[in-house]
Amino acid sequence: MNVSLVSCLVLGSAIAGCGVFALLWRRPLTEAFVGLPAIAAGLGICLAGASRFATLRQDPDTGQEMAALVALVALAWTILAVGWTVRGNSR
Amino acid sequence: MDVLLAIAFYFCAGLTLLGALLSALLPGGSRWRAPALLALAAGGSGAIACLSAVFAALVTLVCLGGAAVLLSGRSVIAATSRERESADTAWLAQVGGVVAAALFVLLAYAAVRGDFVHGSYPGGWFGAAALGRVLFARDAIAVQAVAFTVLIGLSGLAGIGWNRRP
Repeated sequence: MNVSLVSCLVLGSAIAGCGVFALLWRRPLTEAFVGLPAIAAGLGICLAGASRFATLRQDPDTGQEMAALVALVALAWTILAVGWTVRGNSR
Repeated sequence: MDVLLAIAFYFCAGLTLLGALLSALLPGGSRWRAPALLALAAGGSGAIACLSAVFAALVTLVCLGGAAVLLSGRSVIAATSRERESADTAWLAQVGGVVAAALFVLLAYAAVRGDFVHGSYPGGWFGAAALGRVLFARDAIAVQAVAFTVLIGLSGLAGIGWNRRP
């Protein structure tokens, strides 16, 4: 049993695909935001896998950096979405 | 990568996949939604940690755990249940499901058939110092943009909470 870049990319794509599925399939729109963390987790696994298995020696940390930034962006978008949901509901 | 780490990676990836599927398929009012989102956060960060990126895994755990707590809040569930009464299951949702499946097939095909660089990872597990140099020196503008987005969201939430107080 071994882990390679291909397995990281396939698993990350499957997880991000679940997130896109939730984002496009769920109705109402406020329920669709549960797809954001799944997309971020899938992208993070893909980026960390690229940093681990396919990085150049000159720049080994960019994939990890992008994984951290994607998680932060997902949190920011979730906060905005929750605020929009609660605000629209309180009117 | 040794066998134990590979087993841990696949276990965490499976947990993440299960959490993503459950959070996508469960109805909004289900009591299993919060555990599914937390399993997604824990599994995703565990899989990233198995790839020698422990600092990024910690950031992912905090961010996705916070997102899970936010999305499982009582006010969000109440808002979605009220909107669900007026929502219709349009054909657009079914098209969305097909689009998501096509996206996965396309990405998996590109991953399996693609030709990638075989790099040599220099080693290291935590990488906080190297990531800090990259985040706060080379790519400081990107970090500022993300921090500004988080600040706007938090300000909006604080303003809504201030207006809703009795």
